[in-house]
Amino acid sequence: MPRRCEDRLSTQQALESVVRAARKSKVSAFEAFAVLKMSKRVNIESNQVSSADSTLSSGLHIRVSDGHKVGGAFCNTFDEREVARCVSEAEKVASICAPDSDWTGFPSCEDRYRRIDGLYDKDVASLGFRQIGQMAEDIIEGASSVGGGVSSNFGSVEAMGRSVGVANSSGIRVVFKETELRGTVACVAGAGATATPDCMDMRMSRCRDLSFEKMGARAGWIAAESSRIARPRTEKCEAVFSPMALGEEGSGLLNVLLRNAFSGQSVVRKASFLADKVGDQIWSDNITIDDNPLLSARCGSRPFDDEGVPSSRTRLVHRGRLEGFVWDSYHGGISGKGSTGNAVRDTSSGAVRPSPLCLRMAPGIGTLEKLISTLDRGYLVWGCQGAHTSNVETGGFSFVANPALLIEKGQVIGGVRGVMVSGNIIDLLADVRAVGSDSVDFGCTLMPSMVFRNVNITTG
Amino acid sequence: MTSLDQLARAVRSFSDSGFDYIELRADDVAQTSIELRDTSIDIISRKRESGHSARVLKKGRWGFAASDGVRDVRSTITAASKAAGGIARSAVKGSNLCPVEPVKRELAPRVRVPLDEVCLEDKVSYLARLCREVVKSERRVTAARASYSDITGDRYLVTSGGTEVGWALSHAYLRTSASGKESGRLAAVRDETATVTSGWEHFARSDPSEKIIERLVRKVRSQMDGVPCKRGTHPCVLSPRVTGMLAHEALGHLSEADLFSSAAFNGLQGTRVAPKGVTMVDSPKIKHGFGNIELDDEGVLPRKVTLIDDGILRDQMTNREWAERLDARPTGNARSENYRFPPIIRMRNTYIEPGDHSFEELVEGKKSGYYCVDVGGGMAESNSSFQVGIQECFEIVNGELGRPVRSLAISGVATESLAFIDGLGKDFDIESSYCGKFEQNMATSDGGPHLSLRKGGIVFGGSG
Repeated sequence: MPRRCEDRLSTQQALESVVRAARKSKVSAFEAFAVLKMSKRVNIESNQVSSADSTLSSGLHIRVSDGHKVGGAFCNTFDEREVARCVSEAEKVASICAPDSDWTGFPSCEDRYRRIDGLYDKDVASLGFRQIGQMAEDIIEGASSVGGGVSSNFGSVEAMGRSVGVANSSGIRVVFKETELRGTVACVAGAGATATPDCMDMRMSRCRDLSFEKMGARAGWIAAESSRIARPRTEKCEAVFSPMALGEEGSGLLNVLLRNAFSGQSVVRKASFLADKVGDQIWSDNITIDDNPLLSARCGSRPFDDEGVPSSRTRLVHRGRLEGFVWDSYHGGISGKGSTGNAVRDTSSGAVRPSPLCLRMAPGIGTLEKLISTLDRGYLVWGCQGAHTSNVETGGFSFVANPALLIEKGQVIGGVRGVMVSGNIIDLLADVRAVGSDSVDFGCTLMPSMVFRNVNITTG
Repeated sequence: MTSLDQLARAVRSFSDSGFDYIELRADDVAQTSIELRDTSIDIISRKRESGHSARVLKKGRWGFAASDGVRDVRSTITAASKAAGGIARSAVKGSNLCPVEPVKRELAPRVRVPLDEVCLEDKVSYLARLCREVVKSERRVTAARASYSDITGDRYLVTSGGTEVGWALSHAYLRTSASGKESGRLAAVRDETATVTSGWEHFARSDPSEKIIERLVRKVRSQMDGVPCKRGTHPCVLSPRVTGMLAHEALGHLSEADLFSSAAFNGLQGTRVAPKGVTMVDSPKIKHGFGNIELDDEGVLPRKVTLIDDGILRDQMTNREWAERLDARPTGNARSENYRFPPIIRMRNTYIEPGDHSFEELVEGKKSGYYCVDVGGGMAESNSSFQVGIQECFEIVNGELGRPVRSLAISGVATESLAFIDGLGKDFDIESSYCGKFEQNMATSDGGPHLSLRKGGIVFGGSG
């Protein structure tokens, strides 16, 4: 008998249940995507460890096709009866869909799966709450060590273990497991009318190589500098963007705007501002971007995509010239490019779409500090407040640089409030003066600091 | 599947285990998702989800555990207890809860046409007509999309304080969007409508589709024909939708007690933060409110909170823990997206109350400026900086509306901006959307009247 109920479950078993249920109901073609995730998290609130969470989640998405009709259904238990019901629900949905003449079936695997080292670390998987709590305390200590009344407003440390699997009627049967350790902190300084914004830092890794104290100190440094108020002005000038400002998942400017632009679905639908520019010199020649989920130990790396197609490295921009896009099997079929192994499944709606898995900006030379020192007058943009409201189809953006610091003669003068930055990503990336060497792994992106010229700054 | 009785039994079985508090929540729900592009079906998916979670307070430490129906309820309580025990050394200050009366209820919205009784074909046909009409109504529209989802089923809450509540859910959300293109110029706009208080009649009875189509087409035209926005600060008039977003982002988030303590408004309670006549509230119940609740997710009977009263900063939104810390009555603002998350302090329906001006009166006094009509999301920061994306805007020239303006964003620092309000309309409207905080998306409504601000209150960031 298994010792714990979790032991009775596995992603592999869930996939096998689907295969059995699909055969029993004589479904002609099917695909199953299963995830099992366990996570432990310790939260920080008001400069102290506040609570701890433990989550055990499972999900199964089944698609079936009958000729050119495709339907999908989800369930979140791997119980045989529930799986059979889910298969039958997917069949029902497929039956009411109109035939899609572009549908060519579920992919088969013609390439080998590449071995990627460092995706799973048993030390992370086995972390206990005491150890994770200590990491959270290290963050608080790192922030406090900066002085100047800096405190950790909120944050968390999370250790996660996950297994993901795909099986389909074309012969794909694959499972991989991964771990992730992630720390987040938002520091503040001052109070009331002189309060700083939440000065965030976040780091993630597959293994236990993160320095949580440094993370706290980095966020604390921004908070401390922000608390010395400097006066901005409306101008066109240079700006250094931190890796957080560019690559973070929620509001990193390049992550928000380039993810859609490089998606083959946006190209097919003519909803990408890059759609008809392949072969053109679109950006500065110091911009090279690829999607590379094959890098060892990176948080965005994985051996296969959400359709079970082997991952691959895709060159997107080389020295400023647009080279291509990423594709899943459906949109890759429409375009004639084929899948690049970039299918991503929306576990809310069931949509399967192409998207970069690990967008990597090729690093240049120099740390963030070095880049700051090269500015005669300009700003350090640490966070892009409202970047998520950017227009992903046109590339237009207008956000508040917050936190942001005024830089003069290579020195930080102080924090600025109410500074808006607007423009279009096509123009912004055409005017890059320098790319840093300080790439940070945000999972979805691998992003360094960058210096842009002619940035539109607007103040009140 | 988990029943109210099962949860209550599980809580009782831990009555002598030294917990200060146990809270169990469970969902057994079905979700339908449909996505259409023009008239073609992109996605149809049916989802069944069941699971539960336990939140415990033990010796002043919080522990939370959630399980997608994998563990049994007792094991989940044990997992939450282990989590609380695991941070006993790290957590410095113990937490306490404000006492509340237990509630035993079965709650269900008054639905005329249950969402789960409308067949998929009818929903698809409704959405297809919407998309078709949008494309037909404006030649420059290159694509129209509709993304619909509904959730029905049961939600349960049982606490060690004796609360036992069951909810029947009826939750529907429709997001429509359109793209336009002409001579190299691109437009991308969107619209949202949602309900938690009615069924399919929300779409069929009041037929909001005509309004959705009209708004989408108007926004596409505005972006295609629009002139760039002049960067800087300008006098402006905000529509009820934009006023609502301003209320939500400029002060709403910072009046959530867990954010207030480190935010720019801390220390300003009882002082004037806006001109006389400006009153802002967060209410658990308004007509068509997407944030309407009968009880919060801690089982607290919710009440209206006055955030600004005639220009004076007043109350904060609380959960039971923050009410105890502030020595205040809980307001019933503890909400969680679903059982996978612990409840946190969230807004419900946040709005500025109407004044007595007509729209014409607000515009006519302005020689130049902007009229911001519709929003495209926003974000608040603890230093009271707010940002709101604007997807429909017009110039104001000599007291009249002028040319449309391309998409832009506005921003301000709320501690300063609110003082620049110089007029409130006598109309009122709300918008419904999801608000994100600490990884949880919550159904909320924001609203108010048309609102006028002098130059200096709002910064226009320019069109991207």
